[in-house]
Amino acid sequence: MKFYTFFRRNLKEIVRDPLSLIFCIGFPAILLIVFRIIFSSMGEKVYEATPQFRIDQLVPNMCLFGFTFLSLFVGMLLAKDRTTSFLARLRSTSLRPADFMLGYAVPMLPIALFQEIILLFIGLLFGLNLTANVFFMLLALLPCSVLFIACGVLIGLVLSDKSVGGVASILVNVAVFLSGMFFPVSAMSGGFVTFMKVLPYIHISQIAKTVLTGSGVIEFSVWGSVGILAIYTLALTALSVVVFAKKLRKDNF
Amino acid sequence: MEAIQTKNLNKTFKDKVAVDGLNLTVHRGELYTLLGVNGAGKTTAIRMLTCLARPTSGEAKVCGYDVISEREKVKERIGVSPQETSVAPNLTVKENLRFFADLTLPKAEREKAVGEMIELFRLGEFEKKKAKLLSGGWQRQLSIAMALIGKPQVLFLDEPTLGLDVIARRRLWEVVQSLKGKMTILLTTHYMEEAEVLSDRVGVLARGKLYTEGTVEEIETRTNSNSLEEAFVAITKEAEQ
Repeated sequence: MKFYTFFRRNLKEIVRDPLSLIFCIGFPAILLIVFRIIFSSMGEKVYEATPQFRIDQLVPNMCLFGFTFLSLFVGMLLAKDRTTSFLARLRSTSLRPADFMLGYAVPMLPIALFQEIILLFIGLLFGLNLTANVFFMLLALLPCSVLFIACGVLIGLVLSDKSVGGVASILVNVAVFLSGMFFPVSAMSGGFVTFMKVLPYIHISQIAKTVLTGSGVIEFSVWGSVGILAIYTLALTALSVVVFAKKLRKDNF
Repeated sequence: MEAIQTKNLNKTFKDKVAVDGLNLTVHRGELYTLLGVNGAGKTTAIRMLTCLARPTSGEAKVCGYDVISEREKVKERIGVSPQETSVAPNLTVKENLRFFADLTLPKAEREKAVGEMIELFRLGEFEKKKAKLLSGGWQRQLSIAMALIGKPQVLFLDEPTLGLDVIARRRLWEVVQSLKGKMTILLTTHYMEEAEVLSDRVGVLARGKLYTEGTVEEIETRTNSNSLEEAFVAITKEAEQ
């Protein structure tokens, strides 16, 4: 019950911040609309060289782009609560360590879901076919957002509220460039692609695109992506839980 | 049973001794002020008593419960207003109070307690306003109201009037005075006038040590001083030598 009280407070803090609405939802939505307008004026042939801008690839990629801002906002909230001693005064109440961890992380899930719904809705307006796969992609992407939430909790725990913005922006750029969001990975080869495949971002994009465009049977190759992503998500979540628990026991936290 | 009792309480950060053998007794219903310059150890002492920092050695009990082994029982009985104005900025005044009421009170008492705090701190005209839009003085009032809403047996106020203008400070003094006798209050400050006006007893902390304690008059007499400020300067100088 106390977790729910803290969850509600954190959700309100984030959704009432106009910046979080602009970046989490407005920015990816505008980018999606702008790309659609630009590319639809170029004719179908343009997608032969740049398939990532086809609506069924662009929508999952924009969902991934939107998720990167979850790290920023959960990190900012946590770091601000630390620097204003709000977290310290909460530690003097009977909230348990699990309440803190879940209270910061869980409110980001409805925000992630809302992001996805808005982007899918815009996608449908711009030609995305309404099939059951749209719903499956929504479900498949939601667990992927946990990776970004765990990452945000970690940076919020170790950085000041002034540094979180800078570091989270770097992470946004890393995700953009290493997910193949804006360039055709299938046409690339070499060490850079291998490096991209070691990181989780391209796998999120791969999973979402496969579910959205698939025939209902998930291809064998995508399970590799699921595995890699699961390893990253579990490792980052475990690390953020351990660091949070450690910090809560620290004197100057 | 005393409200607060410490025996030879120490806190060391690497090479720095923040609190050095603190022996402190605060009686039930008393308003006790810890007076000291910046870095004297006031906040560290409060952090140990409120279970936010672990003592390096020694013993501390709040309402008879040990701050290490019985921390949950201590937490149920205290209210803390930190030095920084710590409110939830995007929540309204009423929501901030409700948030802390939800964390600290049984369901049936929450709404009534929110109303009482709004009345006591005269927050009525701001109750639907976001906390971040209040002036510094009103934010501080809200911060203290949030510490008070759980009806604590012991209230810790860490430099509650730091950085406030005269009017806001006087307004807060009125509220603190109205609480006297209803609960135990441990207040830290470096404003002499505040200590004189509010305290039943004062303890002077310097370099982590409690150098003297007593009523304002007793401290003045003990140091042959005409005012608490004069007494405080003499004690602090002596401690530094």
